[in-house]
Amino acid sequence: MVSDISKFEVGDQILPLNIELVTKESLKRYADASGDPNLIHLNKEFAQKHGLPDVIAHGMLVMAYLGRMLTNNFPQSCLKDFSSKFISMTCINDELLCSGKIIERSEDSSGNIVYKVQLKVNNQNNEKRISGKASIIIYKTI
Amino acid sequence: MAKTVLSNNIIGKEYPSIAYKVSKRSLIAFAKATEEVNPIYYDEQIARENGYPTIIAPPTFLTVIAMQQDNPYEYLDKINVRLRSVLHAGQQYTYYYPVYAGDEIQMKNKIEDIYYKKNGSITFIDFRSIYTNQNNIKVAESVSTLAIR
Repeated sequence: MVSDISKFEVGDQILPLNIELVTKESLKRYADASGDPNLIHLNKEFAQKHGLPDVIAHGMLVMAYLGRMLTNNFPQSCLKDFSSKFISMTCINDELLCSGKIIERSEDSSGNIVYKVQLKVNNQNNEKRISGKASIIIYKTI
Repeated sequence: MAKTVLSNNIIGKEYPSIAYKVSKRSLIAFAKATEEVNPIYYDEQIARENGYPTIIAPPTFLTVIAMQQDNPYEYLDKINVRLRSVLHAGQQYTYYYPVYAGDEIQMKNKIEDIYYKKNGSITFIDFRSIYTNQNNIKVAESVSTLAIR
């Protein structure tokens, strides 16, 4: 683990985040907190009518976990861009591992350090749920 | 052949803006729902001790704003897209300024692009949203990509 956030090098992994289990309760809590009423996340019969074995997680819940990983590593004010592609559906009983790797390190004209971070969320069977990217800026301290 | 054919005329379509007051309660509920353990996202005292004026909104919190309507999916109804055929394919944020409890955010949303993949069998729509606070400062932009089967 790199303790000084200005010292990451290309190829370094940032501190990952493990989400032990995605449950129906997690989906219900997220639906209430986000205001998303889509039953595909809440009602098994409804999900089955749409050809799914059970309810699926909100993509934005999984992205929120990824966001937690980023803000565990860097103060949120360092975060400039954050994007996710939802590769596959996150299911009940998924265990999620959020991880990130520094793929670019540069210095801008003001001497600030800019990182590009490649992001990933995989489940316990190594199935990719999200692939993402973030830009992080570490402002030069005077 | 695309199963869902959308007119390219709707590219550029703007929706009425949505006003939303960020409450401590909604931030705390969001932190709880995302199993957040960093107290700056739910404990005002600790947020202050860490140099923030109050609780801060986490990176994906802005997604909540679009849902604060009687029918959050009206924006799809308006372009004749059925929710059941939609998947969230991607989400992108650019951040300009922090969002705190107490902020009053205006969200403006428009259709930015429509395109097709897999020989036209999947239609993609990009919605771009701009978020501005009560001091008319642009706090963030987002692009939400939906895939329609």
